[in-house]
Order: sequence, then C-alpha cells, then structure tokens
Amino acid sequence: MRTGDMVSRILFLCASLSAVIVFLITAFLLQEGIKVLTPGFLFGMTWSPHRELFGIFPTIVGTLGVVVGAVVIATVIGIPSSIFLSEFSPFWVRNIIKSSVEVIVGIPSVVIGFFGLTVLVPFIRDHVGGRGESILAGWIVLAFMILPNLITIAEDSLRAVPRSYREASLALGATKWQTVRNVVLPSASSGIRAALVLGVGRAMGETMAVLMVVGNPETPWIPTGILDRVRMLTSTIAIEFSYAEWGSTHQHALFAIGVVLFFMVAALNFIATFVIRRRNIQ
Amino acid sequence: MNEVQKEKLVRALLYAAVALSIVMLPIIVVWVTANGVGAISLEFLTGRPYRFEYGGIYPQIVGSLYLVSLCTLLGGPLGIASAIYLAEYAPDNVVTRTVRFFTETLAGMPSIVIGLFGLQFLVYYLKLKTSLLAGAVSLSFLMLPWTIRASEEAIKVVPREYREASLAMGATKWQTILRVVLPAAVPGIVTGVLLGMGKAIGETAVVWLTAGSGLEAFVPRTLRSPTGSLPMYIYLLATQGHTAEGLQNAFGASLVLLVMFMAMSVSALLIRNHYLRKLGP
Amino acid sequence: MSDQNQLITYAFVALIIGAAAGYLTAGQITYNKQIQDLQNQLAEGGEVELTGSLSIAGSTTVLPIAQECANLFMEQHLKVDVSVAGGGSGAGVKSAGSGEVDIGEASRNIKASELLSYPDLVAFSVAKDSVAVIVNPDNPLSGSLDLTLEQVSEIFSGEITNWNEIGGPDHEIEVYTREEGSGTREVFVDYAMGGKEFAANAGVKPSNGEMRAAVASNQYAVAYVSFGYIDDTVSAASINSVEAVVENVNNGQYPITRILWMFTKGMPDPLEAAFIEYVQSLEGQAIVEDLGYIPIY
Repeated sequence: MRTGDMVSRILFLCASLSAVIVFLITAFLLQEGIKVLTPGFLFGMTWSPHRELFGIFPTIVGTLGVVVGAVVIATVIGIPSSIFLSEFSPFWVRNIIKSSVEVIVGIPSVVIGFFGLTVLVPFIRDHVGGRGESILAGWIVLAFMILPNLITIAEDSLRAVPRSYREASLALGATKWQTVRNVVLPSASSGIRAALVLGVGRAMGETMAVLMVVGNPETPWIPTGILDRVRMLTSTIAIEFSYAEWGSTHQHALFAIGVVLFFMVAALNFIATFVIRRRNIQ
Repeated sequence: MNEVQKEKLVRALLYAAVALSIVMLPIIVVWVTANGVGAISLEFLTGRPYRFEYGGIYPQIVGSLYLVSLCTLLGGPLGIASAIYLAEYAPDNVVTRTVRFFTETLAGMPSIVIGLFGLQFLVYYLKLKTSLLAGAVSLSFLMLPWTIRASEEAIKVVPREYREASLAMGATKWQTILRVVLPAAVPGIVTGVLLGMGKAIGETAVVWLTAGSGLEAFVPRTLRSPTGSLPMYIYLLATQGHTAEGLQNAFGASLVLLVMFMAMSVSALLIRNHYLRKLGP
Repeated sequence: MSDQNQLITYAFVALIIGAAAGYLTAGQITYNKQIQDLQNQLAEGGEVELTGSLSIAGSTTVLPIAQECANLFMEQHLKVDVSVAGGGSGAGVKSAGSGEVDIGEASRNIKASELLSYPDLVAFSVAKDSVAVIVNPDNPLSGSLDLTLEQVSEIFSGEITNWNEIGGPDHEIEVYTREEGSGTREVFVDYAMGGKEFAANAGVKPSNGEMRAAVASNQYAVAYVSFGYIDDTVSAASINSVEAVVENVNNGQYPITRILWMFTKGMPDPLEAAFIEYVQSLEGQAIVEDLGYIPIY
C-alpha cells in the first residue's frame, strides 16, 4: 500500500507538469508583454516598429478576416461531410474517411504552405487578380487545415445523438434527411457549435502555412477586399522576433501579441468546452 | 420537388462535400510525389547541403529523427504517467479539474507561442542555446497534451471487468494498472504516441526558433549542437530557392518528410484498427 | 488468427526499426569514408586540431559567404561543426550580443543603441558590398532601366505607383521591401530613400533570397538586394546612369556602398578567431569575390 501512495504521488506530479508548463508560459508572456498592453496597442492603427508605433488593430482584423472566412468555408464543406459520415455512410466507408481525415490533421503545415506558395498564389494572381498572396489564399489553406478537426468533432456530436431519436422520427414516417434535419442536427447543435469555435481557435494558432501565402505588407491596413494582403498575429511574431532588440519596446510588443493570441485562443477553447458541457447536462 | 427527390439531392450534395474534404490529401500527396521523386537519389539522401540549395539532406533527415525521438522520450512517458493519474487515481475535485483545464489549454496553444516560450526560457534563460535539446524539449511541450489525451482514452476504454478480476485475485491497484490495464491499453497509447510523433516531425514554428538554422551541413554531435530539420529546410528552399535544382530539392525533402509522416500516422491507425477489433466497438 | 496478426505487426515494426538503423548506419559509414579520404589527403597538412561547434547567424547578405567558408573550413578541420543561419542583421547583432550564437553577421554598421545593449561586441570587416534595385527580366524596362536616386525613393515610397510613369507598361508597380531588422534595408534607406517611408502596401520579404524570388516570379515586381544575389533570374537597374556592377562600387561611381561585418561577443575564442581569419584570408576573399561580393582589399 505504501508503494501505491508513492506511485499516486509521483503520477500526480507528472500530471501537474502540464499545468506548470502552461503556468510558466503564461507568466513569461505576461511578464514581458504586460507593459505594452494598452488600449493604444490593441486599437492602434499603425504597426511600424522603427517609428515606435505599435498598434495591432489592423493585424487583429486581418487575422480574424482570414480565420473567420476559413472557418466559414470549412463549415460549408465540413458539416455536410460529418453528416454524411455519421448518418449516410456504411461502416467501412466511414472508417476509411475518418482515418484519412486523421492523417490530414497532421500533414506538415510547411508542405501545405509550400503548395499554397507554389500553386495557389500564382493561380490567384493569374486568374483572380492582385499579387496572388491574399486573404483568399489564406482562406483556402486554412480551411483545408481545420477541416479534419471540424469534421471529427462534429461527427462525434452527431453520433452521440441517441439512436432512439432517429428511430422515433423514422417510425413517424419521416425520410432520413428529414430526420437528420429536424431531429439529429438540433440535438447535436451545441456540439457542432463547439466544433466551429474550436476550429477558429485552431486556425488562429496556425503560423507557417499562412505566413507563406498571406502577404505580410510593410504597414498593415484594415483589409477591404479578399485580394488584400494582411498580417497575422502569428506571422508578425515569427518574422520579427529574431531581430527585435532585447528589452526594447518592440520585443515587449511582440510578447504582447503572444499574450493576445494566447488569451484569444484560450478563451475560444473555454467557450467551446463550456458550450459542450452545457449540452451534456441537458 | 417531393421528399424522396429532396433526399436524393441532399445525398448527392453530401457526397460532394465529403469528396471536397478529403480531396486535398491526394492532391498534395500526388503533387509532392510527382515533383519530388526526381530529386530522390542516393546522393540526395546521404549527402549534405551545399551552397544553400544544392547537395543532399542527410543531416536534415537525421536531425528531424533525433528531434522527434528525443521529444518522444521526454514527452511520452511523462504523458502516459499523467494519463494514468488522470484516469485511475484522480479524485473528482478542484485540483483535478484545474489540471485537466491546463492540459486542454496547452493542447490548444499556438505552436508559435510555444516556440516563443522555448526561445525565451530554454535558449536564452537556461542558456541551452539554439540546439537539439532546446528544440526537442519545446517539441515535447507541444506533444504532451496529445499524448495525455490519447493515453487517457486508451486506458479508459479498458473494460472494467479486467480491473475487477485482477483486484478480486488480490492484486493492489498499482499492480493491476501495471500488469493488466496498461498492457491492454498499449495499442491505444502507441497509436496516440505515433500520431503525436507524426505531428512533431512536421512542426516548423517551434523548430525555427529553437533548434537551428535548418541548413546545417552536419549531423548534431551533442545535445547542445544546433540541428537541421526537414521542415526548416523545406521552408527555406521553398521561399528562397531560385534554381530549378533548389526547388526540386525542396520537393524531394517534402516527399521524404511526407513519407516519414505517413509511415508514422498510417502505422498508428493500423495498430488502432487491429486492436479495436479485439476489444470490440 | 490474432497471433498471426500480432506477428505481422511485430515484423512490421522490426522492419521499420531495422530500416532506420540501416539508413543511419549507411549514412555514418559514408560520412566516415569521406572523412577518411579527406584525412588521407590532408595527411601532409600539419594543421592545428580545432574541435567544437560554431553557430553563426544574421545577415542574409553575408550568409552565402559564411556558408561557403563554413563548408570549406569544415573540410579542413574535420572535428568542427559550423552552423550558419540567416535572420537579418538585426537578428545577427541580437543573437551574438546575447551569446546565443558564436558569430553574428551584419551588412550594416552596428548602431549606437545596439552598442548600448551589447557593449562588448567586437566587429571584423569581411567584405564590401552594395545594394541594387532589381526587376524581372520579362519587364519591358529591364536591361535598360536607369533611375535617378530620386526616382528610386519615389517608387519605393509609393509616390510613383504605375510602371507607365517611368516609361513602362500600364500596371501597378509591386513593391517589395525587407524586414526592419535587415541591414540591406538600413543601407538602402540611408542611401536611396531620401527620408521617405516605404509604401504601406509594400510586401515584406525577410531575406535577400525571398526578395529575389519575389521579383523572379513576378513580372511587375521591384525589390532591392545585395550585389551577391544578382543572378540571371533578375535584372539590376542602373542608378544615375551607373551600372550596378562591382567596378562601379570600387571606383565610387555607384552611389551605394557598405561593409559586411562579422562580430563576436568579446574577443573571439580560438575557434571563432580561426574562422574569421579564414574568411579574411586570401582563400576566404577569393570566395567573397567568386560569390559576387567585393574583397576588402
């Protein structure tokens, strides 16, 4: 029994390590970034480090523009796909597709970015307009990357709807699609909403693939069209961190971006978990 | 349009949606393979980079393998131990919920933030310098929550009867876990770890800031040496390559990376499918 | 049946491990053989045994010089590993000053503010260089493009927005610039921008290589790069009727000129000193010239 106690304690230490890491990360980020986190920073319109101007509003808008658009595209393709997987497909088909989707989740983002840079960007430049690097390119690339997560979570929510619901509806004479539309979907709706929110969080954290296709203008502006180029919160950090002078306001500003990013993603994850939990209680 | 026709139309649309979802996978695989296969040769796989875009990728391949192995060695057992605790020992109190909350938060953290932390804390503060060690530890931060999640799932799925039978025969809780539960959960755990490795090997943002330039012409000799990696190599050549050979090398490296990634992911899934059938749906 | 499956799984895993081990061994054997060959060749050499690893980071302008010298240096000193990264001059100063890398590179002089942060930086000049304005070879103006410094500043600040304003096709001028930490950018701003800011919609490319790639792939692009990055995928403009070639920098006619630096934190240790000496040596300077830069003497 003594071994059991000790074991339990050691295991607890291991488990709390994640908490410690997250705590450390938060502490470090905050410590470095807090001085810069002012309304002027969050709502400032100009990001120009050599002029000591650190306003990230256009960057936030740009990030949201790319992310939300990508989630919309992913939803339009992904929710029907998850409906298909959960309601309309035989077991073996679902297995194959779910497995493929799980593989897609992990495809190295640099390869996707490579594809975006070499195929997508020239295509947009030649057939749609602008320089090719654009919000549009970011949409396509990001949508592809968050699709798998979206489909998985949505499909899980759909499958969690009790079979009795479906059977009751079919017994009443409804077609399969009517059942799905009027019975299954509403029951799974909170889970699906959670999937969307998680997708947004995942998309916000993506760095490499978007960095290669979205343009990085010198002084970002609030985008007015899908062919505009934007900066993302993640790519700003990635590009500028290596040269921001130690202890300079610039470096603090980059940490502050990290803080903003971290909190936005954490908030989204929290909302999603909260939303799912509400469904479970029901 | 009556209901039956509507149903058919909807089915067609759903098929289309599914096709669209997975269409990018074969497109990318075919694109990388078609363009990259020309770069693959013995010199490419065993040679070293030269003048930025010529030469081979041996140090990059080995660097990536080292990074992933070390990261798994660090994050794997730790993640499994955490999962055991969460699944078997954790009481349902505030502390447990906090730990779970933090694990979930870590899972959602953007990789650039983890890279930033790795740079600030490991490279600068702990003076590990840009190195294999800094890169692997940062990657393990990334991998930890996934390992925990997958392992916890795997442990929870083990039927209760296994545990009860073992306890009934007089074994302690720990003995039960060690000799009965864990072996049964191994396939699920291995799947989770392999999937995590697949993700880690393709990770660029973290490695960019902590592990090395990517174009090293040597294999890391110690843990404190900087190390090349396939993702960095691909990124640098894809964005800056200006010769046909450079671009082809980027494709070749992408192909190698994809193959390694697919090997890990596919074997993970095969293992899981095989053993899922044993344990039942 | 399940035993058979188990066997298959184990065989598969063993195969993978075996393949990995075989590959690593093969690579190691090849490498060892290469070393053996080189050692046999150098048997007469009588060099001092240098060991250890060197990390170098910073300016993408100095990068090709550092990489080429590193490769040759490593062939002569088989127990030394040299790793060269980019990141820009600002990154070079920062990482060398903070001790993260052994040698930093910059394509501009160290700023006063940087000396305040890192007072113990010791700088060594390793080459001379300049900056050229480049356009795509398919741009109708390429090959005969001659700009005044004034025009250069107007193009890059967005005051001139269309190629037809300087005699070219009717299309927007797509401007690219470097990231703020870039030494090349600093030098360009000092010499050519005349106090103006870069156009807000200029695309930021964080390395010489990407600047060149942007122009090489885009008919209407314009960017600026180090002389060492001019090749036949791009076409360099003349400034004030002076062609962008090395002779014109040496005779002072081309209006932009700069020195390329490597620096260490404090006085360099033996390995760092050996490498920097190598770059400054006749052999190193031959490499400098070969790559398209200008030797320091």
